Amino acid sequence: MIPACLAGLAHARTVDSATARTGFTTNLALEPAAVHDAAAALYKAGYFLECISGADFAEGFEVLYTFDRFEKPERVALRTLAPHDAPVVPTIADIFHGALWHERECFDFYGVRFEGHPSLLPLLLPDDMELRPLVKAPEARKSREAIVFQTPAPPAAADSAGEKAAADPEAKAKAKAAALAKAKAKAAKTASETAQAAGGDPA
Amino acid sequence: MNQTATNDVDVLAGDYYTRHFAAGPNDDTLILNMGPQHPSTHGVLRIVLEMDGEYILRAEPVLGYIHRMQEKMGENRAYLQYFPNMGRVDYLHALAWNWAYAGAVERLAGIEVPPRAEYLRVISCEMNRICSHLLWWGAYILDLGAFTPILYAFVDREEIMDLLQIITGSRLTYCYFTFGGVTADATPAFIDGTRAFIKSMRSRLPMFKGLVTDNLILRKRCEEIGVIDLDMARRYGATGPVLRGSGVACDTRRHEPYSCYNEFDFAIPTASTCDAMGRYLVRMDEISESLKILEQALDMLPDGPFVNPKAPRKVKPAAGETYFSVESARGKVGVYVQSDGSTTPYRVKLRAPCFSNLSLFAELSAGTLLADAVSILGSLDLVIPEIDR
Repeated sequence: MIPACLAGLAHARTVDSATARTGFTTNLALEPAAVHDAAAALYKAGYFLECISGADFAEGFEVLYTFDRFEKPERVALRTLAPHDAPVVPTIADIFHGALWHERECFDFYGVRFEGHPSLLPLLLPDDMELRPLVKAPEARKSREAIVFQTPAPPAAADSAGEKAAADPEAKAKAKAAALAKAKAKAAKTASETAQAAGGDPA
Repeated sequence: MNQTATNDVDVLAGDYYTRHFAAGPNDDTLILNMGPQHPSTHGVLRIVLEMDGEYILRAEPVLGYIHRMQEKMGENRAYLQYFPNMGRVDYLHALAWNWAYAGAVERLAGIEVPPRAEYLRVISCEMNRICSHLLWWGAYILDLGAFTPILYAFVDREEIMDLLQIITGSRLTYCYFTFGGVTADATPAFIDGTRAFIKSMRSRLPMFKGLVTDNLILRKRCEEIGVIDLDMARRYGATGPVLRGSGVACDTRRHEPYSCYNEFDFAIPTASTCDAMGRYLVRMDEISESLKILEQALDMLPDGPFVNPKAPRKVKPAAGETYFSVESARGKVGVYVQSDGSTTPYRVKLRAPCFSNLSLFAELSAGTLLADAVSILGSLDLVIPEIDR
């Protein structure tokens, strides 16, 4: 389900709407450039910013924004992907001021830069720390497709979940192989660049 | 930015955060560090302030003094092994975090929770909520300069901790939940003790009101201090009593009902004043509402297993993601888990309510007296380990 305020989004991809399993009423994948407009539309429509988090996949760093409403449960997840070598996403801190800290935290953990953020300083980590603790080793990265873009499973019922787990390994092995191949190709390049990005002066 | 001033006093200018907090153009202002060892910051929170006399021009909280990278720890241990961490994220309402994590993984792995376990979760979680509110109450009044109330609060808090110790085995950093239920059944001593506690707590509340709530000095310190309007709450994502003190009846227990909260009759206290007093009154009313829930839950406590016997010992959810939120004493706790189908989570994100609630402090405290900022901080009910994680 896409709320009316987000109807005009170009390139949005609905991930799945299995609220019962994911907790998201709306789950949209966007281009980084579309995030700011989407956040502005959500602000106008009365949503509040719940959280911003990151994740490290073979395809790049994913930034996940979750919004919700006070009057009824309607969690909207917006997700965007930033490449490992130049992780830049526009800030939404000018719309939702709570994003000031969430984005700094994401910068701390992943090195994702939020363009337009007024003070992208370390928030939780020491100011001289170069390590990005949640960045995974290239070989440990999994495909985003295999984790985020899952077809909805029926909620609950231990038996069916067991079956699904049993049926899964094939699909997973494929995804893993693909991710590994990709990761290997990028490995040397990404490793050096991650180190470089991490070492950059935050100011 | 006053570049010369920063350079001239470079030696005295303090650390990284102070240097990035450049003094404004006015020569008369003073840069002041409040914390990290300040009694009213409840733990190790530091706030860099620019003061004009007694008034705050700008404030910038500096976090991370007790950052432990809980989210990284989630990625390198088995699902079950991560449980004890939850009690250490918010040590005052550990069971809410227990619940958020248990709920997320149970949904991801399709583990069902038997009815008796759901009720035991409600009972223990509400006890813990009262315990947390009592500590907040005592500590807040202590911040405002009155010593005695915290001693009263600790009498009741002690009873709760004794009772929770019976079933959980610990007094503070509870790790009572497990996937598919709880780790131990309620004993007759716990149930009788809880019934007695409900009675005694009810008899104490009017005394608290007469002693503190109606006190003129407290009112003067809280009323019209730290007014948070709805727009500010939305922009920063404020939740919990901070939001309800601004007149919004949003409580995850009703908003996104989980477990068996639908079966209980309880009100969501709100206050329309939007100030520190509003937040104070909401929390005091919540104690009564939690007592109501406890009473109903004890009366309706079903028989049966306290943990799902079919729950796997080694949890291995199918690949996917889930976001599960519960209501803690401080607001909306969210645990977001990504599974890649292995026995360790691929990613665990902890959404801490205090993180968002504190982030509005910079805007809220601008222009207030320093003493009022202490009142505002106390009214936000901060737990620093939850903010730093």
